[in-house]
Amino acid sequence: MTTATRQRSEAILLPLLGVVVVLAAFEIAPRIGVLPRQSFPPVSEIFGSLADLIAAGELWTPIVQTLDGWLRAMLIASVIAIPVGMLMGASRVGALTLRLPVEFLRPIPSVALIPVLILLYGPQGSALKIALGAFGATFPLLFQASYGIADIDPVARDTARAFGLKFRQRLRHLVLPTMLPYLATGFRLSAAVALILVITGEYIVGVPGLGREVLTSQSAGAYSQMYGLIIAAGLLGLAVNIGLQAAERRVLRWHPSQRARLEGRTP
Amino acid sequence: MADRRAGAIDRPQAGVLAIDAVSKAYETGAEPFLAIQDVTLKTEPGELMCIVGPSGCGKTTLLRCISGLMPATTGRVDFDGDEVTSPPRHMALVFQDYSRSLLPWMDIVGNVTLPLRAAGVPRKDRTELARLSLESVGLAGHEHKYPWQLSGGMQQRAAIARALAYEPSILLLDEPFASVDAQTRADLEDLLLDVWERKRLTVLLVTHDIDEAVYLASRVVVLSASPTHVKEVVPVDLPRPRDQITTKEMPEFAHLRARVFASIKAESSAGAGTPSAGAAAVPDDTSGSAAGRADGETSQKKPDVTSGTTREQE
Amino acid sequence: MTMSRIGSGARRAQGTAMGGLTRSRVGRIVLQLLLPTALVLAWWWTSRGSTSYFWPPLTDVIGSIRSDWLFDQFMTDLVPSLVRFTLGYFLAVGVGIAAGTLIGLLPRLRRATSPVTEFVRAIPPPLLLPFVIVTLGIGDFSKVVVIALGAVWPVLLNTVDGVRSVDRLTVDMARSFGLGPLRRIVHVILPGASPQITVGMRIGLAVALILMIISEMVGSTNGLGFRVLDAQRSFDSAGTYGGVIVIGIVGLIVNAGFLVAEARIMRWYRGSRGLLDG
Repeated sequence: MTTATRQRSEAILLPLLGVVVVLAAFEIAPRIGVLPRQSFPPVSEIFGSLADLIAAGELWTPIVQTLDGWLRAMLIASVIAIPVGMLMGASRVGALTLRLPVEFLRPIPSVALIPVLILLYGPQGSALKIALGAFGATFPLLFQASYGIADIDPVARDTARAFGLKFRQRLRHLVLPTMLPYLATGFRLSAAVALILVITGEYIVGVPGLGREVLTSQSAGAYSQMYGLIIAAGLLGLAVNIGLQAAERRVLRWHPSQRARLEGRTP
Repeated sequence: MADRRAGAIDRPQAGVLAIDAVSKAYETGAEPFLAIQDVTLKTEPGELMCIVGPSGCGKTTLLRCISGLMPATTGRVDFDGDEVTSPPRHMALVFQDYSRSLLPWMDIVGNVTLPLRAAGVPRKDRTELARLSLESVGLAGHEHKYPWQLSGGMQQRAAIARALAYEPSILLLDEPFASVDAQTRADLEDLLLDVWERKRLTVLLVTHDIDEAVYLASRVVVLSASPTHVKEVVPVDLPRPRDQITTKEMPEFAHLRARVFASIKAESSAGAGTPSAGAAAVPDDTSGSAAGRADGETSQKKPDVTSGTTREQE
Repeated sequence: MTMSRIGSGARRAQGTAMGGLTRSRVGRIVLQLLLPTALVLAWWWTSRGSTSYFWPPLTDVIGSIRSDWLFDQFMTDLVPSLVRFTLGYFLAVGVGIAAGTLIGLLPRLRRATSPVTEFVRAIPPPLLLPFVIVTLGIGDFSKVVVIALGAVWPVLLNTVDGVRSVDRLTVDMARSFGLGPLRRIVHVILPGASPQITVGMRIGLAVALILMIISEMVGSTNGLGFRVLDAQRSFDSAGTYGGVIVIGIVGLIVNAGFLVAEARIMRWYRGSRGLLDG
């Protein structure tokens, strides 16, 4: 077997082996008592509970509720983050003016706002989780937008002005193409943060969604189901991330000039 | 002409490298790529040997096999009688790219003494050896600077000082002056000659610069095109001490230079041809060493501080 | 519209009054303070004498900060929070760097563990809380564990990336000078990977802070998160806002501390990249 063949087969077998070993460990350990079975159900039971939920059609409603909150949070975040980010990145005046508020709000752990949000919006309805998600998602997008606009080639910008391009034309031919890769990265980062925060809000406060399902399973002692739901949340996050990466590749294919720059940046 | 002088320090080891029928095949890609084949060579103790060859020939591969950094596929390398399976204690290397071979997180004296620390040399001796070697390359007073605070030439001097402080009996240099400008290169060449003459080391220098090879060498070894073997060995009888101006004015210099050049040129045109797909996968520079690792890891990731987990939690 | 306009954009910006502001030191300070001052004033003005539960007077909020957090709750809540945070964070950093180095150096191990690590890191860190609560109960230990469990992933994964991207040439140089595997790791690989590792540590810091707070909001009797939630439950709106501000300040200080430490330790990196003056 040549090195190349060995490498190819290893690339498939090793990951598989890793997964199998971990699954086997978490299947056997509870059964033989190494891990307390009460709190550590065997993996097969966890997947069984998850399958039951899916079969009973009870998984989709919470997922939809979570995704609905997530989308709204992303929308609000975009509306705030992109203009503010552009203001920050476009000029020194903008950067200096906005710097302190942004830098003060940024390190606040979003979850610290939960009590204030409960106070303002109450624990019913989705306003709380949307606000939470929007807050956290604003920052990555904001910074990416500011990097994007700062990256506009000044010579190109002056050329566009010199040739009398109207604002809309400048936007389309100059600003947007430059900003697009940054916005794509920003969306990907923000989406992950927003999803996590939305689910967190659901879990802590009991707002309808995947997070609340985890909470109710936990309170009811239905631990298999609880773990299953946590896994589902992880898979949801992965799915969102993969989806956005695919979308990002698609959108950026239209901009070959950005491609070369991306070669070194995105794996 | 003997390279021995009165007053030469007696070394416990003579710095003799015996390379016997060494071959190296890389196994990336569908077929193994034979980089070097049947290289046989032996150094004279205390000589300054230069190795040249056409572009793409396995000069660097050869050096890595010789130094024990990479196992040869067949053949054997002996250093002072012992087989080389890993880098020998009394062999020191100087790499072409000083910015990657000097450690930017340590100052100059830290860089120079690191090999000595690993070798168990006591602190007082380490400090003294470092001081002496830095002085001999003209870097006295720069001990506590960081490599990136020095010019390219000075960084390469530091790398040479590090090698010298290690007290080797043979010094291997891989295109050491290729990354500096011509003026600095001339200075460094003369520095090398000075150090060589004073320390009575054996020196093996790989270069693509023919002038440099002839100027420095006692013997010039010309390698063939890929798969590389020794094409010919040209003795260089020019008088020592050598001088950048007078030596290079000599007709003998021009003859030797032309002879070496012709030899290489014949190799380049005579069917070295375009590098095969295997060669493309194994660039003949030191970053290609990834291909020679036992685990077959061939990817060379570019350092990218923004990659990795980019999920930002606020 | 002549070509002479090209390049004048920058000059034009500097020539305006706004551009002038950015050029002077005082001008820059004024600009930076402008918005924050305006916001604080706006808050103060709109909340003056307010009796609304949702929008307490700013003076009340500040008062509650002063009375609650200086220095009562400082000892009973702030310190325990920070202690748990520090323990959890440094546990995560230690394990993350150690495991990350191992995985980064052994390609086979990396391939085998890759799917599992990718999956576990996709789990929202706050959802690690139910897992830890169910298995370890509530208490200081479980809080430290949940903080560590969440913060370890960015550190680990970035360490793997950093270790893998260490220049092979530098490692070969170390080998050529007879440095054994341990010395190579300590003197070459870890320092070489440290820029990427610090990226992971910074992300891990944010995760650790989040988990510190969350873990105190669920089944806890003390801590920053607990206090703020408790204020809200007790209808102490001024205390709620005040608590959030205190958390914000803590977050600011922790982050600033991290940046300062990073700047000192990674000075060589900026220098080698030409971002320092000599």
